[in-house]
Amino acid sequence: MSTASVVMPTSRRPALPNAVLGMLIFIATEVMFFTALISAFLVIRRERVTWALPAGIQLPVLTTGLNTLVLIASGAFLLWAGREFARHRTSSAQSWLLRSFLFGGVFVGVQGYEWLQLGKFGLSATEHIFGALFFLIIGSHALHVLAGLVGLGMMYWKLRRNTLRLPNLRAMQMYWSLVVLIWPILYTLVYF
Amino acid sequence: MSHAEHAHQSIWQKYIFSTDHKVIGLQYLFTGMFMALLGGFFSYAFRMQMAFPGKDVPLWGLVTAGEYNALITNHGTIMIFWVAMPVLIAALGNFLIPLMIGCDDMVFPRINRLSFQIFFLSAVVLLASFFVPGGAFAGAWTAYPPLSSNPDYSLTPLGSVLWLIAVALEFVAFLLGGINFITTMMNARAPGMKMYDIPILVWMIVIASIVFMASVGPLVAGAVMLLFDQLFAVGFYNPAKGGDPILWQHLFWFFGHPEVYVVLLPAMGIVAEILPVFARKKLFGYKTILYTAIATGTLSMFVWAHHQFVAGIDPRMANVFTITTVLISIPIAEMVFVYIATLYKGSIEFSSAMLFALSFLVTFLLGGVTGIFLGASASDIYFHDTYFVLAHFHFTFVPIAILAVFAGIYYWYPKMFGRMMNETLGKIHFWGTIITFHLIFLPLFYTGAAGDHRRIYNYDNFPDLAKPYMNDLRIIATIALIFMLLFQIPFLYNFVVSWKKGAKAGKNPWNANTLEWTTESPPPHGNWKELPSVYRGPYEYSVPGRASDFWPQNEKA
Repeated sequence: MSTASVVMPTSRRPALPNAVLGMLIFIATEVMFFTALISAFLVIRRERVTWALPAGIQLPVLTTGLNTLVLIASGAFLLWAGREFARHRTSSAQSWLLRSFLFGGVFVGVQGYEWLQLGKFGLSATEHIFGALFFLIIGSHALHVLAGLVGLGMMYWKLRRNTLRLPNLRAMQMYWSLVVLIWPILYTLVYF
Repeated sequence: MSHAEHAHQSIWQKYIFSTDHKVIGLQYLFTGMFMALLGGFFSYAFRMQMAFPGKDVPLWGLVTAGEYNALITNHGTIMIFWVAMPVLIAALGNFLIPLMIGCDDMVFPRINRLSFQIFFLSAVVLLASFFVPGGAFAGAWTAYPPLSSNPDYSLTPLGSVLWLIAVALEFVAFLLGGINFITTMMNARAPGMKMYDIPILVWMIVIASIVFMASVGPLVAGAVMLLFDQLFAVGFYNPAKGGDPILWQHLFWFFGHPEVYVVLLPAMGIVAEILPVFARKKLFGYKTILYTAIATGTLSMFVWAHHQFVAGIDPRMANVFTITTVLISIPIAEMVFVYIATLYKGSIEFSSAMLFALSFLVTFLLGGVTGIFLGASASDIYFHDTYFVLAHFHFTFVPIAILAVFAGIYYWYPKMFGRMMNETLGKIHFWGTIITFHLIFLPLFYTGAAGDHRRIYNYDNFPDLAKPYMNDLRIIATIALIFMLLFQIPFLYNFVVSWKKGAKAGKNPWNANTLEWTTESPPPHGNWKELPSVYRGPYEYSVPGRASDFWPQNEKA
């Protein structure tokens, strides 16, 4: 190997940064995961042995609808934060990131309160297959929201310490967009 | 990290908590080899029960019916999830991808280390399941409910939960590994390495990882539901509660069948690396192989229900899946033909690695041909759950997980440890393995076609199946298995002794072209002192007009 001709690998520019590409692959897996949950829901509903809700239970369709808007707003705020960060407006990015985090927190808080209420009124996972699917699907999404909040918190922390890198924020935006965009699908599927 | 920093590490950092892709690859390899010995021992114990029912098995004792089921279940689980996957994808992928594409490490080294740690934990959880009250899970590796979901049926309340957790952890490990493999191949290639300059093995591992990532999500979802059924009797798979047991079969096989191709493609890749080197000929039809691999990966997502022809699925659906299943034999057959074309007019050297690679082609072809009878729903209704099925998939999985892996180990051992393995012992190992393998599974095709059901503990209770000629075939298979296991001793001896006493390998003992042979054996931390650039494809052997019959990828002219 003649050393003179060696081009160092920095000369190659990948089409997508590592963090973004890695997240893209992970998101593909997540989409398949939620697709499976949705198909399980549809398959079991089609067989509808005992489908109707137990007497006295009503799903909070309206509250959750408004809550959906809260989550969408959280997603939009994060996209805006990324735009500001890419333009080196760090303090503005910081405040939009914080808003995104807070709105996400409100969403999952309201969801948690709904769960407690539904449990109190007697929607049980073990006695009712709809209840089981409800808690499974909504719970899986809630876990994704919680993981996203941890991620948003880390982004905020890094931004304050000035160690945040743009590809990592982009990867976070992609993950959070998945969580936000898949929610309306789950909402219409399960609540209607 | 600079190279000076690479040099000073404690043993702890260097071998246990390393982020170096080579160390992680070897950790996967050794864990996989240990699990393979365990899985092999299990098969010995239950095969002895088949051949000599009710007799004490040396080194085990009496195999009770419950133990028998646990042994079969965990033999299958271990061989697929803790041997084939870690060795073919994780060990070879980790060790070879950065070396073959000319970079210093995976792009996410710490995620890579986490991947192995989770994998190791999963193996510990699986082994722990043997020591809990009730014993290890015994509901077959496919874990169909209600046997897997209801402890009243399985009688292993803790074993089935631990089994499921172990499998789920293992998936997380490979998810992390897969993200690493795909991103590394896309983003970290040496300067000059274009799409068609990437060695086929790297492509195969990456395509397999993509297929894995696309198919594992539904199984994770299914596993979560199964776990809730096991722990809280929720009833996702319980029709009495409005659930559906067939749902699990769909979710399982949606992953389970692509999984066959997830392990097949890397095995095909190993063979693609070895054939040109020992035939001194350019790999025939590089692009054909690549495209057929992509076609196989895509089609493999649409064949899963051929495992469920007798499960009560809609017969119209069975027709569709028969067609896709028979279709998938086309790209695979094409790949095998292209490999044979590589051999044509080559100057073939029958090294141990080459013998194993060639035997892969032959045995896998037999496995594929017998699969056609099972892919067609009409004949599958007869063959389903017989030993014919069992012999068929061992004729596919043993070439994949055993023969191709041995080919890979004999070929890359010099790179891994810097020394050559003994060829004579290698050939004894090869012939001992390949002859006994056929003696185990050819008779089982016959007993299966004659009606032997897969899940029977003792054939004495079935007079039609307990005829002397059937028993003789079972005994032949069992004795052949014992010899097959014994013939692994020369391999293990060779592996261990060559480590210290083998002939020094040098950089490129096989005169091969791919980049891993341009660095020291074993490669230092950081792989190259100066990272290589690439000027041509990986298979330029016996190029007319050149003095030497090989042309490394990094040589300028």
